[in-house]
Amino acid sequence: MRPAGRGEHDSLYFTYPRFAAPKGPRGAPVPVAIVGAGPVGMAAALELARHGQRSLLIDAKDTFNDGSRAICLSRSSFHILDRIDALAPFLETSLPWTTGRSFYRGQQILEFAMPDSADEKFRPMYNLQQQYIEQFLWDAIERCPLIETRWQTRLEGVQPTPHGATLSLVDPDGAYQQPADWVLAADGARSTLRRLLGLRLAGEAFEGRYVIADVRMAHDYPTIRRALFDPACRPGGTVLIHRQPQDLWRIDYQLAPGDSADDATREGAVRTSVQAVLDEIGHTGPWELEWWSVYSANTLALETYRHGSVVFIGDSAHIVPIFGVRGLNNGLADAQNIGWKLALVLARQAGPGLLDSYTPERRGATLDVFANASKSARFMTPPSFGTALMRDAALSLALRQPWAGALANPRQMAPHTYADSPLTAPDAGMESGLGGPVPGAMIADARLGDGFLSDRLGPLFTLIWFGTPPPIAHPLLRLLALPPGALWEAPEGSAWLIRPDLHVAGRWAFGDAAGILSWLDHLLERP
Amino acid sequence: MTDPEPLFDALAAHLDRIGEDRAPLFLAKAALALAVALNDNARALALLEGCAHDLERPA
Repeated sequence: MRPAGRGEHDSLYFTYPRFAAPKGPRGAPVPVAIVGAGPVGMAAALELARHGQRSLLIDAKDTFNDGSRAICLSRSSFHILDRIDALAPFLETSLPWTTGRSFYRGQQILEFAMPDSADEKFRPMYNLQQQYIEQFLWDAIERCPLIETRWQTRLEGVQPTPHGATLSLVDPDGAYQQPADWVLAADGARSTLRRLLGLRLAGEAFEGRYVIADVRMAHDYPTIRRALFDPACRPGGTVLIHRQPQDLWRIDYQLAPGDSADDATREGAVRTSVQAVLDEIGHTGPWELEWWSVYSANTLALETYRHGSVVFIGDSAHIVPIFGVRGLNNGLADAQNIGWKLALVLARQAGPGLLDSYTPERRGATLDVFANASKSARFMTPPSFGTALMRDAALSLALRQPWAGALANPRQMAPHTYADSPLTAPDAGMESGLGGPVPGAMIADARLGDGFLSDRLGPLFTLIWFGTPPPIAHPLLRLLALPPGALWEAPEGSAWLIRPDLHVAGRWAFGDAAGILSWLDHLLERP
Repeated sequence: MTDPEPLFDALAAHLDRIGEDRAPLFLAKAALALAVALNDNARALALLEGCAHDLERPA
């Protein structure tokens, strides 16, 4: 929502593009149709294109999503952006951060820093408004001849076919049928595809509701996330404050259980609430209200993310609370995960069984978020009398005892480890005392010469071999030979197989080249 | 075993001073701080479990 007199896309600082209705022929079969040209849909198209696969992006709107919505991009998302060649403008514009501070009744009780080091190419977190995220992905899509985008194109039906699905689409010129071998549902929390297929999200809804408001102001505070518990401006509630580029500030404040969302989202109420927060943090200068919305802390997901030839990615598959900043970040990981797998299947470099790993890997990541979210939610929006009392007890203790402050640490999530995935090799490293990343984990980056490990990895699989490698050739594999001990205290002859999404497919203390190649062919179901 | 007498008196004095409204918060803080100071979660959890009994007036 925006202040009276301004339209949905009348931003103080961002000019929304207007995309024309599609011209030219429509309805020719496509290998992949992606429904929803938000950040997740665009990232999926770019990941497919990176591996040489064409896709068709459709979106009912004629511009980007309104408002800044998701603003925190994690390190793992920056690796995805790096690999789809969209990174440069993100690095130029976003604000990196490592530190969070928590306050209880106006006094600081905790300062935490997320893990970071010179070995990491990217910082743990970057703040950037969602419309910039969409703009920069769109800029990359416009450079890419393999992606066709049709704006102003609404999905009205979906019909499974023996080799995919046919979408019923409507644009300003009329209705037509669009066949596709595969359909990616990137159409968000209110997914049309989900409704058309009769699927429902299951899970629980937390009590907490937040108003999220963006204001523009010259405010002198570093890019440090602030959490205010039980502040004077919102007794009993929680307030979160994030800095964004262009002098924009994100203020999230919790509504009391009895507050009506309709009343709380009226412009006057938002202005009064924001002013109270600004008074509390000592901002005395002027400010302008840019945009606001209301948000509930739900943990909801589909039972399975793939239904025949339709695969759900991002918010269409899962709704998570904001506290762990895993909504968009997990959506981007979904897009990358299905993107490289589908590309290999379309190129006949892998069997369709490879796609069976998508749900367990990415739904597993969602369930991980749920577990962490309920830990965060018990601090952000205590769900019961006992939790609320103990939350207050911990916060009150934290004023004098640092151990209690740690209970208020928001547990920003690390990437999910695909330990139980069918694509993860049984660990042949543990009993030999091998260090380094375990099978299923996303690798941490590392300094290598003038660059980083992540820069040296191939577009698909990479075999990192410590010592003199045996002669290995495989069309999907890059061999990276490093001196023993160059990373992870890896001994001579040890080997790690890294996937296109930087997760470890397997590790071996005594690499056996033929065995590793046959494992790779096995997991890809190569003939 | 330590002499519980001064602990009993101190808790009573704190509660008198703090008052009924704030007593739950004080007792929650005290329980959590003492349980952590015990540095033995199994024992602390067993003691808490024990304290959850016999809170009702017998019928």
